[in-house]
Amino acid sequence: MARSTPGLLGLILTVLLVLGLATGAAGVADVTVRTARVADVADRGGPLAVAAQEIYHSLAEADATVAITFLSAEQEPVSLRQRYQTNLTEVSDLLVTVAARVPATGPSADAVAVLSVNLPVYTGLVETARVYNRQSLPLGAAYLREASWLMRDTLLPAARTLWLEETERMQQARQEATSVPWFALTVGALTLVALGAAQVFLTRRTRRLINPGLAAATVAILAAVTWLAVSWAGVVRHLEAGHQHGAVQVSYLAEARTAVASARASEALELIARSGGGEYEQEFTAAMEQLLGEDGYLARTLASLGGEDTSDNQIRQLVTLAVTIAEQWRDSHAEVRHLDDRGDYRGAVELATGTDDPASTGVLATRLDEHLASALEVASSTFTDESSAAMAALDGAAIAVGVLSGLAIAASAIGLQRRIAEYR
Amino acid sequence: MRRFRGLLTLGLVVVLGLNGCGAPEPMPHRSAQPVPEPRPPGVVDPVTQTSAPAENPSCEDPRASLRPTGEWGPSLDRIRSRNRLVVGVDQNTYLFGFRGPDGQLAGFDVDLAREIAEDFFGDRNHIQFRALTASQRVEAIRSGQVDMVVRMTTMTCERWQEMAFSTEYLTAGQSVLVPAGSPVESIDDLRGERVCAALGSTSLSVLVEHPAGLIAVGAPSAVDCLVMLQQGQVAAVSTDNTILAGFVAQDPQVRVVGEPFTDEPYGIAMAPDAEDLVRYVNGVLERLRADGTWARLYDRWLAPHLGPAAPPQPRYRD
Repeated sequence: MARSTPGLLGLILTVLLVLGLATGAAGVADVTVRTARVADVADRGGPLAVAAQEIYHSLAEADATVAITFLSAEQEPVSLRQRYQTNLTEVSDLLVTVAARVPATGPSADAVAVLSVNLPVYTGLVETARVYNRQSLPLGAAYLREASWLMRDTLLPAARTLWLEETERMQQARQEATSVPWFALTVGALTLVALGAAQVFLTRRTRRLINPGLAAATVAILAAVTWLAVSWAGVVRHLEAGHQHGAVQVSYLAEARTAVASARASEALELIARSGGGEYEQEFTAAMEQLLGEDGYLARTLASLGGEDTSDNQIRQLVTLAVTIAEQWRDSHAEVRHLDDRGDYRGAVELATGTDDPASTGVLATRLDEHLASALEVASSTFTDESSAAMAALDGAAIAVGVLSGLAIAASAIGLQRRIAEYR
Repeated sequence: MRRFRGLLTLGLVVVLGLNGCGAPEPMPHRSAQPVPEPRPPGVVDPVTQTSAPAENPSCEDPRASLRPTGEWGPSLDRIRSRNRLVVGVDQNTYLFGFRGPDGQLAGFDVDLAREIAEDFFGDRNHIQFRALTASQRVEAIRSGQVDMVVRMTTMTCERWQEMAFSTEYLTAGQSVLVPAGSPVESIDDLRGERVCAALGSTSLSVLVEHPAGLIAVGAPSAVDCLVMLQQGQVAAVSTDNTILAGFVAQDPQVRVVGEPFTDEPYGIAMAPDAEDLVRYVNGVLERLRADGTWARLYDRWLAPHLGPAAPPQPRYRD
């Protein structure tokens, strides 16, 4: 053990170099990993969760559209056919996007496989039903029931799994992205303590008040640690804002839109089955409760909104309107049931499928969905903006931390090298 | 000094090098998915037991109903005050009860029900249809959900326990339907094969107990059996020849083989205690047979597919 001053100085220098290197490495590693997690939230998790949610919603809407098409007195209204085609095109399109981005194995990949395999089977059944329907043959309705069953038994559950899985993955990425950089900060603090101790030692041994090299190194490490902490705080602020004013509402509104499609399908199926008051009525009531109930998705959306935020205000206006429309729909549905129960089946179908009557449940359901879709878009863009801002908060942090640590190492080396040289 | 400069360079390289790109993601690999084989919802495969009463009640003649007397009672009062007739029908069986081109129900059973409404109210539209599957019929009558069921219902002694029937309005018999190219010529050729009939139908009970050793498959509606036949999931459908005639009309690639091997008299089903209604309906059927309405309906819906026929003669037990 070197007890001489030069020996001690050499030891101190080695310790400082190692610590400086460790600070740089830990800081850069932290920023690198954090950047990847934020990218997961922003570039992958966000759009992926949105795509999964759109697949889920489009499938639910396709099912409802097919049921309503069947119910309409007119053979296959063109507008409904187009909506069905649009829904399916969206699903196929999004599936390609999602398939390329989900992890290669696991529940999401399985769900994508189930969707890819069964979607053409579903459309095949719907087209078969369509050909028979155009000839007014009951085989058409039979194929339709089979298609709808495949949808509700296989496709929708897979789409829901995919959506929940991707949302979960995004939440996990967010938690990892906002975790406190304990390790890097601890190493940085240790380095600062070591630098301080070295300077106290030097002052005592050499009777020079300040070693410029070590002082510069201290400033550089302090700057690196500060940069790290500030960029972390930026990530936390933006991702939390994206969550509180974006992701939460996106999730509720997506559920609400799916509840709308499900209520619409139940309403149509109830008329098709001519089974007033049966299980389809219960399904309708349940879907309405999901929308309008005290703990329903619309109430939860409104409760989740902050005070002054402009995007929150936009969402609040849209959702408040949506609540009114949903209540009108519930009233109109009661009228549909009343007509059917009184024996006026034709009138009931008219009120449920009409496209001109503003009180028609079809018109109301469409308006409701449009309002929810607009609100969802606002929430979604808030989320995207905040995620980009979180990404920007990390811009240059890795290079800055790396360079500052490098400078600290260089400054320490130069500062101590001079003192060591004095002893040779 | 050179030593330290080297160390310094190394440090910077290590520190900055950590910021490089990650490895490319591996190509996604997916395990093989099972080939989807969609089926109609609610199929039971195989059916090994049908819910027939434990002991076979016997009655003198399942075809015998109550004679029309013109007597008025509480069941008729209820219909009168409601101002419409509520009738359970099928909406999935071609020629009997199905959605016509205008979205309204049509078919032999549906028109028969409308004739009863016409007789009662003088307006064939004072009627409300409830779509029922075969297995929903008993409950619909028991709960009073419908006044009557006009839905290809075979009059049997077992069913007389739970419902009252009108006089017979059509005679059917169970047959076998196979793909046009199938070598099957009768039900005896179907040993070990899947054969489908509607759940809750007499046809399915016959299949379950048939000595030919076939596998009975039940579907909610008979037409679901045709779907399964088209998809190659069953080898044959065996049910009333009246229903099978509607299948042939929908799909020329299937054919009916062999002669009917059961006797299925169709009656309109009502609540067991609705004696006044049963007598009233029988009066209407008398008129339809006599004034040529029955023949007109038969010619419109069934004659092209089943050949000419005369209305079954009513039998009464008073």
